[in-house]
Amino acid sequence: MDVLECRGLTKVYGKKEVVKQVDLTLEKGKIYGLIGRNGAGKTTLLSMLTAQNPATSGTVTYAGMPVWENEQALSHLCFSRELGNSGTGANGWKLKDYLRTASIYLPHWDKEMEQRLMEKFHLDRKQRINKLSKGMASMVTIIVAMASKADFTFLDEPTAGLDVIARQQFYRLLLEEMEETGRTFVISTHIIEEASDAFDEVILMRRGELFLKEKTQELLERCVHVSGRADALEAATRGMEVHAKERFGRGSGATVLLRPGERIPTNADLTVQPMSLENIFVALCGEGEEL
Amino acid sequence: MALSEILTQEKSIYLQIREMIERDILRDVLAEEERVPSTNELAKLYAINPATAAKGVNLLVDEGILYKKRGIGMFVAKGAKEKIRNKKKARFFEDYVKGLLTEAANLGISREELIAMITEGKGEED
Amino acid sequence: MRAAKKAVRYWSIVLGEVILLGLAGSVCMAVISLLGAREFQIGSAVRSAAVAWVILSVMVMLVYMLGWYEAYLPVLLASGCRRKEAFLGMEMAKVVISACIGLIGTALMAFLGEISKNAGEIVLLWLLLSLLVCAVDSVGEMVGALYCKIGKIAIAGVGILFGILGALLGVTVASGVKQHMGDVFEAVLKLQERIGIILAASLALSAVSMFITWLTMRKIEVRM
Repeated sequence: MDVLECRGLTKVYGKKEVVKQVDLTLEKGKIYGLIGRNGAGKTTLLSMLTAQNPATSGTVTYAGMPVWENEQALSHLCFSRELGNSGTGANGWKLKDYLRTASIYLPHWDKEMEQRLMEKFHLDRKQRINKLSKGMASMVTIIVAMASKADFTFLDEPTAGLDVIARQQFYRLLLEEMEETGRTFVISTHIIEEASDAFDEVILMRRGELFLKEKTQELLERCVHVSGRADALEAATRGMEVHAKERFGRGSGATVLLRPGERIPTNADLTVQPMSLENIFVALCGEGEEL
Repeated sequence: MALSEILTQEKSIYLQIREMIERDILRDVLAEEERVPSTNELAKLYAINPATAAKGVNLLVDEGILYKKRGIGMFVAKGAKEKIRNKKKARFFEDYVKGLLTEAANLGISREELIAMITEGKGEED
Repeated sequence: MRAAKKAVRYWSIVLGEVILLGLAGSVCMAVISLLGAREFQIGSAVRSAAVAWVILSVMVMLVYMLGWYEAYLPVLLASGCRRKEAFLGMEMAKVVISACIGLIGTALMAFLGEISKNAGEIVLLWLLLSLLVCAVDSVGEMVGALYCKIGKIAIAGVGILFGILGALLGVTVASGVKQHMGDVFEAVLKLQERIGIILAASLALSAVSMFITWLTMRKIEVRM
C-alpha cells in the first residue's frame, strides 16, 4: 500500500529536541497542510520524511520499506525546498543546472511541464539561484515540485514571496494536478487562510511535537470561540478542551476544541463564534506568548 | 472590560466594536459608571486602526450609553443597560421578525403556522 | 547509474577547466622564467612550465575538492540522490582525473627527455605521479567534507596544504630563473629510488582519507 509513515520520529541537535516523537501516516491522493510557527520543526520533519536528513531516532517507511538511502523508496518522493539567497556554494548554481540535476535524479521528471511552467512564470534559466527575487525563488520551488511527478511531493513555503494573484494561480495548479494524477502533496505554509480551502487535512506542529492531524472540515466544525461573562464561561466549558483563555475584568474568552457529543448551549451571557483556520492557528500556537 | 470576542470579516469592524461593548454591558461584564477601554487600547488589542475603534465608541457616546470624563477616559453611563435593552427591543422587528416573515412567505408558511410555531416552540432559554 | 552519467559530465567540465588553468599558469611561468633568465634557455623555460603545470592542476583540483561538499552535494541530495551514489561518483572521477594529470606530467617529462623512454619506467612514473596527486586530492576532499561537518578546524588544514603547494610553486619559479637548481622535477626523479615506499604511502593516504570522508558523508545533512 502506498503509504508514507513515520513512527517516533525524533531529531536532536546537541541538547535541543527539534522534532519530538512524531507519528504520522500520509496517504495517497490527499493534500495535507503542514502548519506551525517558525522553528516548530516543519522543515526538519519534511527533511527526515524524505531521507535528506538522518533522524536521531524513529523510523520512516514508504510502503513498508525504510526510506533512508533506499533508491526504490526515494524514487516516489520529492522534497522541494525553499531556496535561499545566501552566498554559499549551493545557491551559486545556475537555475538551468539546478533543474537539470533535479531532472536526472527524480525519475518521473516531466520535461514538458518544466518548460511550460518556466514560461508561464517568466523565469530565466541562466540566472543564479541566489540572485533570484523571493517570488521567483518560490516559483522554482513550485516548478520542481510539480514537474517531479512524484507520488509524495513535499513543498516548503511555496507561496512565500508570491503576491496574491500568483498564489491563486498556485492553488489552482495544485488542485488541477492533484485531480489529474492523484498525487499526494504536503505543503508547509504560513499563509493559512487561503490555503485552508485546498487542504484535505491539516497537520499542526507545535514546538517540535505533532499537536493535531485532522480533516480540515472536521477541525473547523469542532473549534469554537466562546466569550462573555467569566463565570458563565467557566460553567459552560467545564471539562472541555480549552485553549488560549484570556480574562478581561469580568469577561473572558477562550477557544474550545469540542469533543464528539460536546456542545456549548445557547446562553445570553455567552457569545459562541465559529473560527477560521487562521484564528484556530493563532489560538493554538500563540498560547503563552506575549508580544 | 469588554473585548473577549474575535472580529469577523462579515460586518463592519466599528459596528462589531459597538455591539461587543453593548453585549458586555447587558451581561454585567461592564458595570455602570465603570471605565471602558480607550480607543487606543481597543485598537491595540484588536490590531485595528484607532479611528475605526473610535467610530464605534462614538456611536455609543452619541446614544448616551457611554460618556467621556475629560482626562480620565470613557465610562458606562447610568441607565445604560436599560437604554440598550430598549433600543434592542425597538429594533427587534427590523433585526429578527422582518426577515422571518419574508422567509416564511418565500417558503409558503402561513401566518397561522408561524404563530403556532411561536406559541409551542422552545427557545434555548426555556 | 545516473550518478555515473552526471558525474562524468560534471567532472569532464572540471577537467577541462583544470587543463585550461594549468596551461595558462604554466605559460605565465614560462614567460616569467624567460624574462628572468640570464640567457635565453628555452629548455629551462619549458621545464618550469611543465612543473608549474602539474602543481597548478593539482591546486585547481583541490579547490574543487574543497568546494564540492558545500556547493555540489546539497543539490544532489536535495534532488533525491543517495549519499552512496554521490560518493562513488566523486571517487571515480577523482581517480580518473588524477590519472590524467599524472599522464600529462609523465608525458611532459618524457618529452623533455628527463627520463629514459623505457616503457616500464614510464608506467611506474605515471603511477607515482597519479597516486601522489590522488593522495593530495583525497586529503583535500577529506578536509572539504570535514569542513562541512566541523568547520573552522578544517580551514587550518587547508591553509597548511596550500602553504606547501605555494612553497613548491615558489621554488619552481626560483629554480626556473636559476637554471637546474633545487628543481622539483629532480626531486621527483630522486623519489624514483624509493618508489615502493612512496607508492605505498600515497595509496595508504588516499585510502585513509577516503574512508574518513565516507564516515563524514554517511549522515551528512542538506544545508541550502
